[in-house]
Amino acid sequence: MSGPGPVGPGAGGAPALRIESLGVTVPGPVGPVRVVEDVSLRVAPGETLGLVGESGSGKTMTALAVMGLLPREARRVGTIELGGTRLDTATERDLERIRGRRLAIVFQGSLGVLNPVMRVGDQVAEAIRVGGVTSAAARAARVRDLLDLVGIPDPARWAHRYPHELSGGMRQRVAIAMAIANEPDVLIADEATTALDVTVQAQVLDVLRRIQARTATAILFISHDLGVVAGAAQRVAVMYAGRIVEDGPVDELFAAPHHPYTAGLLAALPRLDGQRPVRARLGAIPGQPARAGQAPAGCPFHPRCAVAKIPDPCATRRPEPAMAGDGRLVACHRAVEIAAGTLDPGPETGGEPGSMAAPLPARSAPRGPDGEAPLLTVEGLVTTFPVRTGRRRRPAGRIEAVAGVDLHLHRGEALGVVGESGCGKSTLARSVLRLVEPDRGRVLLGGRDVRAAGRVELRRLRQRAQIVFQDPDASLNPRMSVGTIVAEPLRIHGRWDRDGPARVRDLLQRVGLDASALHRYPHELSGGQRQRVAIARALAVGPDLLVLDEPVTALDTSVQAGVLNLLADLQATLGLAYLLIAHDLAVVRHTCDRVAVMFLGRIVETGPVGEVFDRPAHPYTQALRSAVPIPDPPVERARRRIILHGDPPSPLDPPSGCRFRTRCWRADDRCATEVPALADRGGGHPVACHHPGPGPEG
Amino acid sequence: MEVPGRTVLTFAARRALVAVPVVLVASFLSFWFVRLTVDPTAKVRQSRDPEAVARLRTQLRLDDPIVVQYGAWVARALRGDLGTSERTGEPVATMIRRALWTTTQLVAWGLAAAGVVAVAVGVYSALRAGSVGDHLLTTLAFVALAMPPFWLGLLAIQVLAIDLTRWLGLSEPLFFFVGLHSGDGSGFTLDYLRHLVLPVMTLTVGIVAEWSRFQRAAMLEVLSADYIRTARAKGLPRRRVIVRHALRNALLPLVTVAALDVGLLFGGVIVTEEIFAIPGMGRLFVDSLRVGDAPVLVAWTVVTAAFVIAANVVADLAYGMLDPRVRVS
Amino acid sequence: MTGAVLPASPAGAPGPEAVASPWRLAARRFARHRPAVVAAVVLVLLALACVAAPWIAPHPPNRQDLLLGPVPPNRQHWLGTDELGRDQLSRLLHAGRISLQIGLAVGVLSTAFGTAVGAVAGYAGRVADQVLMRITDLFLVLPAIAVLAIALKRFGRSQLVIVVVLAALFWMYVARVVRAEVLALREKEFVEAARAAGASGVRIVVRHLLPNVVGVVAVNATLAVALAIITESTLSFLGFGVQPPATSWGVMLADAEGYVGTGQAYLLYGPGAAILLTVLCVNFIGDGLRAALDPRAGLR
Repeated sequence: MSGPGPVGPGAGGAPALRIESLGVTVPGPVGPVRVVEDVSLRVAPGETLGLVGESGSGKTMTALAVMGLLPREARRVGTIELGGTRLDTATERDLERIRGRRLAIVFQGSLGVLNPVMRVGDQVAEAIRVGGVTSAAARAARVRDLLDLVGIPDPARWAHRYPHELSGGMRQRVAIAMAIANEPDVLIADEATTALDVTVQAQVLDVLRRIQARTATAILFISHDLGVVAGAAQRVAVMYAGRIVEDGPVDELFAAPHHPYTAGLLAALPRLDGQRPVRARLGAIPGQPARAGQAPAGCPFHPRCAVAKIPDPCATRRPEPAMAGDGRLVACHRAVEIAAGTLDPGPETGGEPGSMAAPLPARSAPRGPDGEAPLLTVEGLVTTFPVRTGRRRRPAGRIEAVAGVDLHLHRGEALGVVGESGCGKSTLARSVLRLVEPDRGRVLLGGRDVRAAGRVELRRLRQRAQIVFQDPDASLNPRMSVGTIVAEPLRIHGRWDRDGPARVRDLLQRVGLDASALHRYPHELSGGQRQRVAIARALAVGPDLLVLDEPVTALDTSVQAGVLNLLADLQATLGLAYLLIAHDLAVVRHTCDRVAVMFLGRIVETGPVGEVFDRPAHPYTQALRSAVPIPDPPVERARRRIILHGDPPSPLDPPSGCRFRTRCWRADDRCATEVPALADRGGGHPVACHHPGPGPEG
Repeated sequence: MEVPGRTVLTFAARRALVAVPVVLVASFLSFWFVRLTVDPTAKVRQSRDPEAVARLRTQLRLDDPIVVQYGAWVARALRGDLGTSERTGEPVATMIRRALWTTTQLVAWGLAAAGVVAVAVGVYSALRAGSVGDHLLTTLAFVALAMPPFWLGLLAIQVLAIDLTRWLGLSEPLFFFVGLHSGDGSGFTLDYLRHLVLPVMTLTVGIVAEWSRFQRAAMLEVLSADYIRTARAKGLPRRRVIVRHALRNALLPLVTVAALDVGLLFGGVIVTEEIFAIPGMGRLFVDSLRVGDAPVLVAWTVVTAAFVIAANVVADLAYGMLDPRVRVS
Repeated sequence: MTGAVLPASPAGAPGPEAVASPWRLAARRFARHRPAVVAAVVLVLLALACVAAPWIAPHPPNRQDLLLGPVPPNRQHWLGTDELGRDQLSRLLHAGRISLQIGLAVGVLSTAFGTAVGAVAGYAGRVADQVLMRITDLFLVLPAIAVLAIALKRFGRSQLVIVVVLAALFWMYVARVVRAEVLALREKEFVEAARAAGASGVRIVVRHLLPNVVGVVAVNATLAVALAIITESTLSFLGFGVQPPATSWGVMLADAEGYVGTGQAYLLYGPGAAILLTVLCVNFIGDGLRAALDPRAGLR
């Protein structure tokens, strides 16, 4: 976004969008629930306001309230003004006329965001027709223009397709095209880039930037991702339990947060740029985000706050938002002290009750190749899937999900595998454990051949390597109690004896759960707690290797930090080896010793974390790194981004030679004919590229 | 590059082609089933003449392997000869043709009426979910699903035809309940319609209830979909959102369900035609089974199986044409 | 410590409770579903009345009183008598015994067998699955009534035979539904986790799949019972089911058919209403079970 926009609430000319004391109530199981309370926001024309919050913060409800799309049972109070027009008092017909024209929204991308039985072009044309363009020919031309503007190649062809034929990134771009069709004054982006791959996200953010520069649209950018907001917004408002807790200019807010929650969120983020010492304790906020209607009396954040003054005033009186200098609004009883610099709001200093307050034990350097043989060796692993098309589901070819992967992992070492969706990293994880049968290659675990193992041997090997899945909801049997879940591996392997129950209790404590969790059922636990149960289960048989498939992706930021800390603790105390699959580079940087970057089934670069992330040699790694937002606004703004063109190639029909060549700016003929091997080409670590070298960011 | 017509045609052709072996296997199994359960020599046995039984067995090739018997039957059937009824002496082909025409009318009217009513009720219930009307309709559906169809038929005759006539003091019943036409009448007349009302109602009460509940659920699911939110956010008027976006998606699943229920309808006519004395496939079945008329039963099962499979294919095709996600293959 | 703070149960159950096992929650939800509870009570009473028929029926069901002939409902004969002077209420109760027995037996048998086969086919996959699907596909092509009627004509009409023949067809519906459910569950991560822990196929099916399939199975069991009752009465009505001197509600209606439009039309209402009431109750119970075990209520 060009330059700092109007600074501070209420500064500058008439706001494009003004929200005053908005409150939304929805009926709940035991009475009405205030999901949004006393929210006031202002966005000036040409400005981007970031609205940050975790699950249950009420940010989506706020967006729906502005659009007038709240569920029928919801009640709303407060003022909403668009330009000079009052939206809260407008009739449904008035709203219909405003929506799509002066006010538009882009929702979180999903397969269902576009009508599946209508052609893409027709849906965009519908939006144009709303703006009053009556001629079909004019509409068709404008559809092509819009699709081109949002970066869809060959618009005439894609307009004829149906939504299921487009990739997620393209669908989201179509959604944006529909939203900006009539050049609205205000555009709301509700987690618009959350479901997208990082490189696609960069493309989409670029589109939004260009549009805003052209038409001075005011953007309300809703996201849980502080990194994205740092680069996209001029001002940021932070929501918690339906209320605004802090609101101010982006640079100041990130550099010196005044509210403990904001400080906590920032402290909980693992950093890609190495700003934090490796495996330093992340500032985990205890507990989980308060859900609307369950917020305690007084300040809703006080049970989790590092600096709350209990009981008075933090547990008794609700803090009102107050100006705190440099154009900021903070709702905290201790804001004055924090602003004056006499009180550090972050959770690090507060510490967590009962936990290891000391930083993690220093990690000894991981065993290198001169030590013992690696715990896990993978050579030439290939895993394919049949492709099922149509309803008859007749296989019509195979996808090479893993197309020849080599890696090794030593005892006590953490190797991260990063890549975007479709790169095969999840399949790789499952192939190593033979949850999915590989087609070719060798997998050696502790010297034993996993692929050749018979049933009995495989069972024994399963005790040495375990897996933790991404979705804590789905990975625990809803009909089994926590105790039963954790005990099951012991029973399976005949190791359940008189000490069994004690061992289970011990495991639960090790992962930070109270012994009372033993009798609970998964649905009674939060996401973070469920993931801890999954980890306890994985540890039950005492494995040497833990495979973690996106272990924190499904968790809120504040909860994520706690689990990452736990993983680091466990590794240090139990000497576990980790194979960590993630799409979030920052998580990998924080937790792992080495990293392997995957693209379309192949590893393109691997090496120590610091080296690969600070001095990437492969163009894809460079693009990936460039696309990952860093929660440091001045740094974000100053970055020179690599924006890849077009869409990721389909795994059904990968490019010949180097698979990245169709998106690579250094590609030449050799790249199309010769597959680059993974080898050290002078950069210090193995790269699979014919033209490795430093990128634009160095 | 893409020629929509051609993809649909190839899809249709492929689907129809796949159905042929299914029909063959299904008809073979039906043939076998009837041969196993209904003894064609039963009546002749009563004459206690072993010669007659042996003769019949040779004539019908009952000692040949079943596949051969089937093959012979199919060969004859393709020539139009389905055998002769033991009960009436008529050619089976003629009987079936007559009965099939009658039943087809009944089933067709039933499908049409059920479809219209079920969609209307289902969509209304979804749009007004939770209202008094919705609850009322749901209760009605429950009762309709619990009611034995043949009882409804009898009640309908008693109350709507006989009692109603008496209460209104009419000279003849408003709704007729014997056959499809009065006397020698034929063709599409008011008389015809008056004959249709009660049988169609009896036949379809169950599926109307089932379909309307299904449609309600489908509509509710669609209404909460993301793309409906997108459509409203675009500023489209509510009616357009409901018709162009919601309905277009919500009607799709009903096509599949309807196809699966054609078999149910063919079962329903058995009872309906019995009660209303309609000379269709159902009556034919009951009359033939009562006396063990093997030739008719064999032909009946094969024809019915073929019909149901054909209906499934048609539904598949319809679905394929309506849902672009399925077409791509 | 992050985990030490255990929250109150999520929105749904007010306040922390001792042990909120999914089963107990389901039972509670069922109890809150008023139609289901009422239906359960009514059904139990009805069943008890029919079972106790030999003792509580006012008259022997087959005793004819030709002198009396058909009389409309009065104080001695609450549901009237037929042309043979037989008390309709007594006949209704005795017939109910048969109808309910058959319905319940078919429901239980077909559900048990269908669940077992469906679960194995769904989990074992491929060959077993295809075989199951093809076989059931073929049987589903012909109308059920037709298939059953033909089979019954061949194998006889004793109660046992009727139960076996009906169950032999019904299990296929159950198997298909269970198979579909198992296929969906198989892809869930907790099943993968069990495999990763080294669990055998048997263990996975028994300890992981079946408990999560219970909801669907229970609902389908009620549907099976309801369908069995209606099917038996339809077959008996047509003359292919229960044979005199045994009687079921369907047989009673067959007798009553001839009296439509005459003064004895009252013979129609009793048995039909009995079937309607029974099936309605069973369906409401099924609905209650669905509400109780519905995954969307937050248990899956």
